[in-house]
Amino acid sequence: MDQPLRIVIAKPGLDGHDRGAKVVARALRDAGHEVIYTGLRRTPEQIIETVRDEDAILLGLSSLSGAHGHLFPRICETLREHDMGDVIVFGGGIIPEDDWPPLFAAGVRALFGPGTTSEEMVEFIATAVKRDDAGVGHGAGWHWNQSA
Amino acid sequence: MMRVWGTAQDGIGTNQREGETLDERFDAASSGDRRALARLLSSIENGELKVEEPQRPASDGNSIALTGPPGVW
Repeated sequence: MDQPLRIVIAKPGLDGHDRGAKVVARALRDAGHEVIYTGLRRTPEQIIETVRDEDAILLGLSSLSGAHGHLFPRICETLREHDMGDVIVFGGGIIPEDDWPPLFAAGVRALFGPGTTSEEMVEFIATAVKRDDAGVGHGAGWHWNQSA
Repeated sequence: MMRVWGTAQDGIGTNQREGETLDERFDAASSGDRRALARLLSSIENGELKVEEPQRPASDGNSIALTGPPGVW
């Protein structure tokens, strides 16, 4: 790993299941990164304030409630509105593949579902931070090609 | 108030803006830019900015501590 990164893992909305988010947070921590987990039921505004105050470079969103189609794009849009377009957003949880294209179009750079390895997430992060077009401010564009 | 610019070290990777000087970051934070304040704190964490003595306001001000979980009041 070139450099440890500061990463916020967030649970937006009313979804009350965070085992996966905690597993991801620990996996990224074990990979050497500094990870901040927001806890459950955060609003998009709370999440963005956390990213801003923690000076994080990446934001991982977890959703198992089916609200990803509303919450993820809203968070991406709010980041852009707050001049935080350099933040790299990725997501995970139960997100049907049919829902992926609009999320990628909103600026989400990767979506990881069940079966994703921690190595793949770490590889995505290492790849994304080296790109100039991975920030959410670039809108639709490059995204990670999932192997899982 | 004393600001001492140290040598940048390999610290945590955050959203430090390319080309932004520490003086610009400090001025932006002083003017109320919270993201600049976050970047400034990262600079201190990373050893890029060393504060050798507490910064005290010219007037009698209250001491402020930074603590608690993020995003929560």
